[in-house]
Amino acid sequence: MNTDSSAFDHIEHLLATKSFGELDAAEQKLVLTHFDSASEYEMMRDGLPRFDRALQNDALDLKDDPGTLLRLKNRMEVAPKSSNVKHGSLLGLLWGILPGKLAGLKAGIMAIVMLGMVWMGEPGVEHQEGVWTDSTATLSDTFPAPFMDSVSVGFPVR
Amino acid sequence: MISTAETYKGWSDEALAAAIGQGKNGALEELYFRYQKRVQYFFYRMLGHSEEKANDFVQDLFLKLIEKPHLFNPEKRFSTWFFSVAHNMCKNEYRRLKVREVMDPEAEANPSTGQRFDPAHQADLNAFNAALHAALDQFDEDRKTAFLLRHREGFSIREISQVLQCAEGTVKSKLFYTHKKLAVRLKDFNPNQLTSETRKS
Repeated sequence: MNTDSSAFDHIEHLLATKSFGELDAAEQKLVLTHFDSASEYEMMRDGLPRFDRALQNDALDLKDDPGTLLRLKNRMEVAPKSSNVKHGSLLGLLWGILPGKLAGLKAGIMAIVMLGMVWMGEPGVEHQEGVWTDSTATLSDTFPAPFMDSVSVGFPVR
Repeated sequence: MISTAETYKGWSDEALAAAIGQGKNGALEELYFRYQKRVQYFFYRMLGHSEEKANDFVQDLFLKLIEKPHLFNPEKRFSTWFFSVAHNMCKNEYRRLKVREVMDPEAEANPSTGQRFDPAHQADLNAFNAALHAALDQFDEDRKTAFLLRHREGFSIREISQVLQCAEGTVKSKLFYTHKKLAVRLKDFNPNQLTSETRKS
């Protein structure tokens, strides 16, 4: 493979610098092991710069789809973030463990939690609905400290 | 903080890709601006010259970057990695088309095979270009990719070998025989052909 590889390098150099008539005997011999004839060598010698020119100047009138970038950006907006997951999952847990007769208290807690979420107001939260990826969330991660204190007095949720 | 593409103007491709992994919207916009036309051209030339298909593939390619940014190693060159993914997408599409071709052999027949061109058009770059791409379409996807990356994107042999995941010598061989066959197939466009034939004899 190395021999072939260096032979290709050598031929590439010859193609770029010499016509077939300018090659010495050894070079002609090498070239003719890779080309069927001198004219084939000359054709490739002519062709290589043409290929470059053709592709470099190939100004296709391809239209951009204007919606593509917007769709991609929207997709990026919904990339997973874990902060709101804690709110959602733990709120559900708290709701479930409180007895039904404490409905008034539950409603109060819900209101406080909702206010807390607004107060914490992390950017991008509104885009993260339904993403449940963070299994390490704790109550103290999720709720503001004063709220945690009030809960732990009446209800042993820890 | 709102990040705009303007913020990322001076960033390297690799840094932009890393920023996309961190959800930076402006980095995506800048990288899209830099690569959209290049990969669109690549897909267009690789996938049967369909603009609609090229646009779909461009979107899918960027989606892969957004959804799996960890697949890119920032220590590597971004353009090489990005075109590697694009090349693999083309390979998958070729496989899919080959299955279709087996089911319907007429479906993918290339009308340009064996076509001769009027010598009066030799100087016309557009005619040459059309002939070149018609001839190029007769090669397999690896050879087409190597050719496009070399002559359109200006990739080095080493970079092409990374995209195709093969040895550099193999790339040189692929390119050499692609060039050789193209030169023969496009000989009608060679204004020196008669001179060469005379020299040969």
